[in-house]
Amino acid sequence: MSGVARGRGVAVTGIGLVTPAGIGVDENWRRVLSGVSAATTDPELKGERVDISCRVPGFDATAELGRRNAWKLDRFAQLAIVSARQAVTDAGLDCGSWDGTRVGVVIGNSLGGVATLEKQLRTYFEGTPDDVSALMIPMGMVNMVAGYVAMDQKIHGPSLVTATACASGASAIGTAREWLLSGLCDVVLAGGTESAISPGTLNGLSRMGALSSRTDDPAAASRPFAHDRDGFVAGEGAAILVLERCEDATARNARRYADIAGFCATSDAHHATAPHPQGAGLARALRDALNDAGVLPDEVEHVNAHGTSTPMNDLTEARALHSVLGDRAAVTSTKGVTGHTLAAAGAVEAAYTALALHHGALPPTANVDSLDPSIDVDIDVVTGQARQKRIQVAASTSLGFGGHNAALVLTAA
Amino acid sequence: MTALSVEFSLKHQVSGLISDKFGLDEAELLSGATFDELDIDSLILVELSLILRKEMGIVLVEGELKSSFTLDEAVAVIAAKADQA
Repeated sequence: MSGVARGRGVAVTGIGLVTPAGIGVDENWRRVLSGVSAATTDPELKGERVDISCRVPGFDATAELGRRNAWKLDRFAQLAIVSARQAVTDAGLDCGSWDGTRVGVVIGNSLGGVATLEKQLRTYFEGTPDDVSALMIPMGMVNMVAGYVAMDQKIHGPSLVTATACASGASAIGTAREWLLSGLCDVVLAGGTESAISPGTLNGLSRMGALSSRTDDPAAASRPFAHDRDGFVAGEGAAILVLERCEDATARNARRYADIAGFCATSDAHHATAPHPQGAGLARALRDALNDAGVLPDEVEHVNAHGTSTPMNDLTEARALHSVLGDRAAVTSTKGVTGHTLAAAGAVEAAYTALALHHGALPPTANVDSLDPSIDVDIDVVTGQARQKRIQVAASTSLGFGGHNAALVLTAA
Repeated sequence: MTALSVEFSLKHQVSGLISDKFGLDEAELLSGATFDELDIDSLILVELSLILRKEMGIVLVEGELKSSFTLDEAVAVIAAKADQA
């Protein structure tokens, strides 16, 4: 089965993960397979209407990057730089010896250094213009993360930040694949990052009705596809994948976790924040990504769904998945464990999908005591324990405010 | 204190601040290297001015600290301002 029309695939040869599920691939994979949520009460949100979040546990930017570098960077950039370093090492590559002009970096991000911006704006309004830091802008701008990773990894090819809200990470991976297949780059670091757990942002999300209000039981708050889900838990994190053309990976005997075989992005053009009720745009993205990969719908055995745990997302996404795949694919939302890492989510979940193909294990969806009966289609949600199963074809789906949809199709290497 | 010892004390105060806030090794700062050579760019010098104003009440005009300065040269500018204060 492997090798089915995989001509347009690119290989995932390295993975870096800095997420609420842990730091590094091994910690992440263990935690995600355990199905235990990372959500906790967040002391920095004390007194706010929603005071729970999924932060990266034990992330010490000073230890990872040195104080000389760490203080100049907002956390969304710190997470990405550390993740990129992990990914490059994992791929067996070294920025000291590669031709940086043939390497690109594309990273999804949405809210940039919003915590820095909030702090500096407070300083400005409570003080004088001279109290504003000269680093406010370079710490705050969304594009800077691609620039900083390029500096850290001596990358002189294209650098880009994709901003399609919670589909940004998937958009980045789709873009990277095109850069490789067009011959623009030989290696691309692609992924997503977000660290936006600030009081202002969380209150904004909460006022939209997007966040779970289950603050008295944080570990149960993120419950995708469950009948009593009531919103997502905000998370932070970064995932970077090293992508190379399959023939290049093979030529250097690189370990291939999986291949990115197909991608498609679509737009709902329907509503600013609500998904299309039937998930029509997402269904089209998935169908066209399968076509792009040369894969038939009934070959798909696993989907790492967007599954945010909001009432509306999970219902419409289930309809979209069912309309394309029927009820055969085992559907997981790893957001039950990680919470919603926003712009990083598409990349984090693409990494988990690659790991599912590599290890032959499908993670469970945390906290699903009973599936929502109002989901009016049959889908096979993985609940309880992880399923040990060798698979050949999987998909990862992402949606973002603004009506952005993205689907990635991954195949066993 | 003599003028020399005031400047000596100021030098250690400033190098301590830079080391503490920006994570630089004090020995490097005291080595006679320029800010440029220590990767202290113009943005960081603006940040240093802000810290000097907040923590020591010394108000510098934008651009008075230059990245071509050594710590000694910067301290001479800061000391002159401190005298005016």
